[in-house]
Amino acid sequence: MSEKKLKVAVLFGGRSPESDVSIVTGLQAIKALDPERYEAFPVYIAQDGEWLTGAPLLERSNYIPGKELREKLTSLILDLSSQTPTFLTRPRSFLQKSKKLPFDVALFAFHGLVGEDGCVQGVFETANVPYTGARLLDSAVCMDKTATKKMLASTGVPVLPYKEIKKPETGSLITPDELKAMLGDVVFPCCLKPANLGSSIGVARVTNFQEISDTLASTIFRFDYMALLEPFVENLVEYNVAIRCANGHVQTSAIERPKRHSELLDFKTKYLSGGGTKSGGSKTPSPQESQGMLSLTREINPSLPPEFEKNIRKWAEKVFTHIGGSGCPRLDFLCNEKTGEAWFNEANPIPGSFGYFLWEAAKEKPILFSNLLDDLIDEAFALHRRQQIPLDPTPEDARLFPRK
Amino acid sequence: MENSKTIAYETTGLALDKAPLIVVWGHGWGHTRNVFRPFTEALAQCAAHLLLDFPGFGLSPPPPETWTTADYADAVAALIRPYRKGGKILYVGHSFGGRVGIQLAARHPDLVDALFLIGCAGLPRKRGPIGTLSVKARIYTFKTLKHLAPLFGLNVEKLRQKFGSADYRSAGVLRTLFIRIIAENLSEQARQIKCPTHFVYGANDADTPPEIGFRLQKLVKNSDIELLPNQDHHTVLGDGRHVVIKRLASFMEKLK
Repeated sequence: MSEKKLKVAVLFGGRSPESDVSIVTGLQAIKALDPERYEAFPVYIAQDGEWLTGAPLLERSNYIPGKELREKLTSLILDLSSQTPTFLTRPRSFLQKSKKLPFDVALFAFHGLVGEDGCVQGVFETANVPYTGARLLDSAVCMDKTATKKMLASTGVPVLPYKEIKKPETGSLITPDELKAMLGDVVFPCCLKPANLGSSIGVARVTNFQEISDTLASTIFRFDYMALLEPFVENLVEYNVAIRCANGHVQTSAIERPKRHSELLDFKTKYLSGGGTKSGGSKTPSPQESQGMLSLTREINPSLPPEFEKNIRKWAEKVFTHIGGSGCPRLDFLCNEKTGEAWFNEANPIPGSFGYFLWEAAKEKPILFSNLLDDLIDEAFALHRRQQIPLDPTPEDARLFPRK
Repeated sequence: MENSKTIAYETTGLALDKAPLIVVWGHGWGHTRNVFRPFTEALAQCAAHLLLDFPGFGLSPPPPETWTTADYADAVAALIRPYRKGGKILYVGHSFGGRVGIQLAARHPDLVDALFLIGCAGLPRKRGPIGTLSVKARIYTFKTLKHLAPLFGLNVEKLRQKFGSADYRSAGVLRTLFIRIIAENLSEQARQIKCPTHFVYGANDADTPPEIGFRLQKLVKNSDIELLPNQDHHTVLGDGRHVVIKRLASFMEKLK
């Protein structure tokens, strides 16, 4: 292939409770990027915020890098003032010089805070670098479940009613009496969840104000500054569907139903079952490893009443349109299996493993993971082009100073 | 799941009698049909898939000790012949499954329309003088110790574990067969292949190094080869499979 390969920086990790899962997604993406088109390199954001690159970061067995390995890696900063996408290496000693590391596009494989929530998107907007997935505002709205509900209020997409609970300015304890005064009448049981975290972290079924108080103090307010209280959905079944826009057409993926559902969806069940994924270094991948852990706990393309499935896909399209219509987010719905009622729950702008297994199994037009990434990168350039403004954006009649 | 006389197999994807393309999947040594399941799931709607457990692996009983890859190929041929009336047949093989694919296309050219071979074995490895010496030394040491074992009270099985390769150690009842198969040189069979053939190797493959692929590619007239950077003999089936699947999908598209 004579065309110049595109240099793709794959960013993952970050200061998020879902950092480990993001590493898995990032490494999967690097290996799924077509080497004929791309030269991909990892940019791992450590939990202390340092941006790192280097060949050892391609190996799953090297995570989480300790002090010794980190010294062998290259520390990076994004050049915010360059006209073209560039990382600068940070010298580790006064003898070293900073080097430029040019690239073409950033592929985000973050999950959760500081990465999926608009923060890193904002940095790349500032640097004027093409990046994949949802834009800054859409990422920020999706990360906050209450903001998402507010945005969808007039769309006709059903959402559960909710009440917000903000973390106090000092400490994290709100007494049951204070909660009672704050929330008014509450019909228990309820579902208490953090407003800004994904992966079911901190989600709990609560039956009284004391339990709310305890859960907030012990779990939710350790990771998030806001919680929301929703009616508990009995006979809970979840349905998730991914969605994207390719060549001007909105397309939904296969629907998935997590196999295990109980009052509390556990983080480890969701991400760590299957065992092999965390171990690394194994020479022969078991089928489970090959398949990726996310596909183990769910049923893909479950049999659904046609009208129900039609509604889920219709609501998904409405949500997608309202959250900017870019990337390949996964939209999650809650359902009472007995009554057939369903509610939109949350949008994940960057789902685990980019939801590739949902696209592979799409009924209408299956998409392979490598092709999904191709399309995300093409879209990143298109969105970047769309956002370009003149180098001197001040209109001539608004200029107060002469251009020298 | 269905069972023929010697090969346990299953069919997935499109209906066998209606699919424009039937893909036959032949796994590597020590694997089973399960290793290809993520591949067939991703390509479920493009073709009918026939996932095999080679005799001696998975749910297939071990073959007679005298078998060679030619016998494996003949068994696969017997299995797929009834489907010949349907769509085109593409054989996909990994490693040892690649050897069987070469034999199948050479011995039964009427049954195979194309080959897609991943980390394919089939030719003796080229080693440098030190590598050759080291392997020979290991084999002679093992053979000598095996003969002396009764005299010194050594455990032969322990010696096997110490001196044998991973595949040799795990070969169990198929050990005699394994030794014969890895010594096979399929140059002549490769020369006889006429159908389109695509070879894929991980650039870091230490089990079937890409140099084997380049030599095979020269022998097979209508063939090409691709190396995947940062991949090895096993990761091409793991996280690296997505690029392999992409290549396979476009190869399949051309066949239809």
